[in-house]
Amino acid sequence: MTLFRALRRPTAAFGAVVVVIWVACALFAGLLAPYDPLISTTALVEPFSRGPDGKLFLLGTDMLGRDILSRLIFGARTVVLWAGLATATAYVVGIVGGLAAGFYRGAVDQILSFAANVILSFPVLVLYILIIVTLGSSGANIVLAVTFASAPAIFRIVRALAIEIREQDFVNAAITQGEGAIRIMLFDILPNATGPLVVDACLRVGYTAITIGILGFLGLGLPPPTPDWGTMVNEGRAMAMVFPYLVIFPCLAISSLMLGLSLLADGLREASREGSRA
Amino acid sequence: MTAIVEITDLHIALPKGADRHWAVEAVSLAVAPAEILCVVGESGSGKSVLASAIMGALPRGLRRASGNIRFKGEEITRLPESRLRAMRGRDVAMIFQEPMASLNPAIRVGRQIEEVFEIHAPAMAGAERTSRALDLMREMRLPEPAAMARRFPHQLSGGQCQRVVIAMALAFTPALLIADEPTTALDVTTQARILDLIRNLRAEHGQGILFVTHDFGVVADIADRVAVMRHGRLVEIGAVEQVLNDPRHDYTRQLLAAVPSLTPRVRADTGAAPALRLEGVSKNFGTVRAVDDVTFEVPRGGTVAIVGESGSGKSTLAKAVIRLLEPSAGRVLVEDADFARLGRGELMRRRRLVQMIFQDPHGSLNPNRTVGDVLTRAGVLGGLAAGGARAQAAELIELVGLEPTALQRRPAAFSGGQRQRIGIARALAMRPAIVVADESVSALDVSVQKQVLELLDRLQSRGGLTMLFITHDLRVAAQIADRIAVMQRGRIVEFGRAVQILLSPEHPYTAELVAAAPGRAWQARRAMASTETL
Amino acid sequence: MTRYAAIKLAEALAVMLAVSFLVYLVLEANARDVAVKVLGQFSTEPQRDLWLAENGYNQPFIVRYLRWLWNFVRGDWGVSSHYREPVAVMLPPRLLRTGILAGLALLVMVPASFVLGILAGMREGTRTDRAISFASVVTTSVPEFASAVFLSAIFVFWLGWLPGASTTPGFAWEEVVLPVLVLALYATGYLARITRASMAEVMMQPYVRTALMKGASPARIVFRHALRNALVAPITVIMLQIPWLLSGVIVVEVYFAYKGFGTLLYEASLNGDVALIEACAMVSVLVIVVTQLASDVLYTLLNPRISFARRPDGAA
Repeated sequence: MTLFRALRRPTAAFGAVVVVIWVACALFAGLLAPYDPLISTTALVEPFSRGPDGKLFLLGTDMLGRDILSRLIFGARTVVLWAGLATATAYVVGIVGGLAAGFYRGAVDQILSFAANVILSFPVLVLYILIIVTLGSSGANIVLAVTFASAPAIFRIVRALAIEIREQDFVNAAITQGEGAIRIMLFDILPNATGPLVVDACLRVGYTAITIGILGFLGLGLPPPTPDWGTMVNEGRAMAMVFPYLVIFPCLAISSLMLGLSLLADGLREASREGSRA
Repeated sequence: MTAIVEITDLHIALPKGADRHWAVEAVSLAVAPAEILCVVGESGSGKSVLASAIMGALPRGLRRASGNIRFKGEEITRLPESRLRAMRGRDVAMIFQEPMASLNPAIRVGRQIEEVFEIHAPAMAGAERTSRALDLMREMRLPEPAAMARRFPHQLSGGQCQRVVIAMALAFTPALLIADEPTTALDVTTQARILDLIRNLRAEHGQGILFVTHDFGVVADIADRVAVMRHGRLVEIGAVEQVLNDPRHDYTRQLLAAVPSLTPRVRADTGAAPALRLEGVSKNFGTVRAVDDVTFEVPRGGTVAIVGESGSGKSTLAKAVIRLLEPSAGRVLVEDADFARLGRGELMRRRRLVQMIFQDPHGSLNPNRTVGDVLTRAGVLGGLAAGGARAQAAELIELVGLEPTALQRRPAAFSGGQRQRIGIARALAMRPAIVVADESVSALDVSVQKQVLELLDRLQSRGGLTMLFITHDLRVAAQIADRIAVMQRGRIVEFGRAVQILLSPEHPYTAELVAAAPGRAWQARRAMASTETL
Repeated sequence: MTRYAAIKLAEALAVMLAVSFLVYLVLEANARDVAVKVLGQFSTEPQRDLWLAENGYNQPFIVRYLRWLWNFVRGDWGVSSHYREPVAVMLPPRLLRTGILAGLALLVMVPASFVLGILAGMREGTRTDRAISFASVVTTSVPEFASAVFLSAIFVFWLGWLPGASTTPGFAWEEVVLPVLVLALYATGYLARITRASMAEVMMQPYVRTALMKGASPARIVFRHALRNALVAPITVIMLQIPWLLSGVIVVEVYFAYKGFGTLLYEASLNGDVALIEACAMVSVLVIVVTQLASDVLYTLLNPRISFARRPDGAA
């Protein structure tokens, strides 16, 4: 319902289209990419031109002669897969903790909130660097690091929502009926918190994608030769003054994905605001 | 005498997609000098929109489509914004429903009054502004004006805030004062004092007052003339005696009939054993004693109303009784078990015995579950098997006067009154020994309020429904309760049969509450008339 | 108020303590790893054993932690294994350079985002509002490394107005323009959105309607009545933006090779420079904890309903 109302806004619809395109790239990378992203041909072919063997490289090739367009399309798979997975685990942890803290309050809340405060006292990037430096960089460690860093923020949102919803009389009604705590959290509180959480999830997938990008850019991302947007920027940076297209295209890719998610989130937020007004 | 403001054939359009085309449709009325015209209507009648239209400040999305508004003979609908601005606060002033929110939290109240002079008399010296503001505060009978002027709104009570707002409104003794439900958010005793103040000011300065309200009691106390609105249309307009005593229009008649009377209903005392007994119940928040040593009992099949103003501790008491809050001391005896001392497991098993009907019809039902789900689950928790619970849900929905199809729908599909019926059904689904109703009809329009009260009455006469009814409105208590407990600052100051409390109150506070009930004199006359015709 | 401040301070100290434990645990729980990092891959086992014994690493973990904490509090932050210099000497000049960067970014973003946010929030739904809101969504969607790339492409590669990286050992104005711009671009959009939302909410408050009904002009309504109340939230948020800014600083400094705190932490992490990483992490957390504290205090000071209620004549 809310989604349909959101998509009536041109900006949100545009955002959704961008997101769908990137997800499609991730799902059907093998079909969509013109070349194998790992195979080297001619190095540093400029965009929109052909290599010596007559092959057309729409976005050019990198210094190892790999097709940039194909690497971007396969890079979408990396980003969508790991960002999605990492955000999902972060959400599981954040929701469980947030519901418990917001429903039970008291000591449970104090302990969990303190833990969240401690983690949130780190600049996110410092936290990532600490974790990746200690554990080494791999997809699983990125998921772990993102969960560790994002779960407290999700925890705070869910906790605040749970406290607010907990005050509503339908929750009081359930309590006076002798309904069990778990059922109240799952059937009364959580479903009524989904609106803001969906909006947040949209943005958070984007932030996680950016984080993976930043880690790649810092050389702490997925080990090569995995096609990854951030790593592409890192690799191309040395030659960016001569061949700016090496870095511009991956930057456009990550920015467009985040923009799409932001516009979609904005549309959803506005639509649910209108919905609650009507 | 010429009217101060004259509205002719005013149409105000609602935005596209609203449930009706006009917020205000073909309304014509006029306010004469020194006259109080009350505009009465239920929610959505367009009465507040009408008020803001006169100020030339319609809420966003609304638009005047046609019609004229003449102020002292001058057409103001086509005036430029700058001219309107010069009029606002000087020739026409407005006061609102939420007195505290109507004042800027970051500015001292004295400065906020002075600002009116700053705007409309920029040449006035600062010292004179200050002294004029203090004069106004004195006139509003605010205590210690000099000290009060230096305070911030949140340091004042609601009634004091409303006096400050009225002071601002009257700074230039405007010809017209528009009051949009100015006493609705206040306690009855405060309301009575503010109404008094408005009456006196009118007598002194002779301004015309357009007074928007939903309460016929307030109308009876303050109006010279009454305009009744419904769905944006003017249904009836006339002198107050005529409209109240000899209404021409059916809708007016319906509304008047729905106004709860202060005359208590008389029911035979069954002399039944108590279903609920409170013994010395107290609840502390830190050092504040919100509920202080409350003792009384509710007989099986009877209704006790707890009446009190905001902050009296009545809702805290209700929550302590059903254990949404832990009582600090005392015993709550339900079926001879002390509900206040039950351990977790035992409490869960006995929860069903004490059920609650909540105040806010919008917040008391989970928007994500169908009514059938809610009622069936309640039945299961009340100890029925799934099939039995479903059958019970179908019975209950009919019992509270809703269609069986209601079971498949979610709360959003229902009006406030219907949701309150569902809330009642949910409480009954648990087959409780006692039902606690916390301001359960306060958020409803009078006509809906009446229907819900009648439903509760009907359920009670079927037998078995024992009720503890929390309300701020003595009139509602009169309609539903056999006994009334009057609460003030956490204590029960008087407890007795409804007839005794309402007709011969013993405690001075009870007497004050009874005296402050809006429309008392009118209702007394009405009661007299109806007994005569009998 | 003093009680409130004392509680907040105690909380902050507890958080710092927990953070220090976490940092030490992550980096030094395994003593052998530390020895490898400090002495290098090609050190021999006896060398490592000797080093561990000399530096007290054979003691139980908790003793080592407490000693490290004590030294840290005293200002003895150890020696960088890569630079062979005391960490406490290396950090201040780097922090100063980063402080300049962050300060300039705040100087650009705060006025810009307040003006934009107020313009947008004053009248919700107008064309100005939609334009500003859309622009802020766009700028907050571009991560720092990407906006660094885009701005460099324009100002360095295409126009050739600015240098693409810091090369001078000292401080040069033209070298901070792009880093500041990149930092401000992202945060301005975010802060403008907060300001807009806060402003829009205030404009719907009953007291704004009261002011309108007094005959106040739009300018008076905005400046006298709305602004004071609308800026409480964004001013509090600026403080909470500092963690974001710190993350952004690392990326921006690395991109533009700006020798600040961010590059130091980055290089330390690449070099496995344990003492340096510890100090950098602790300092960045300290900055955040202090700004959070400041934000809490600021909020109570700015919110009239809290701050003035504690006056002696405050009884309502």
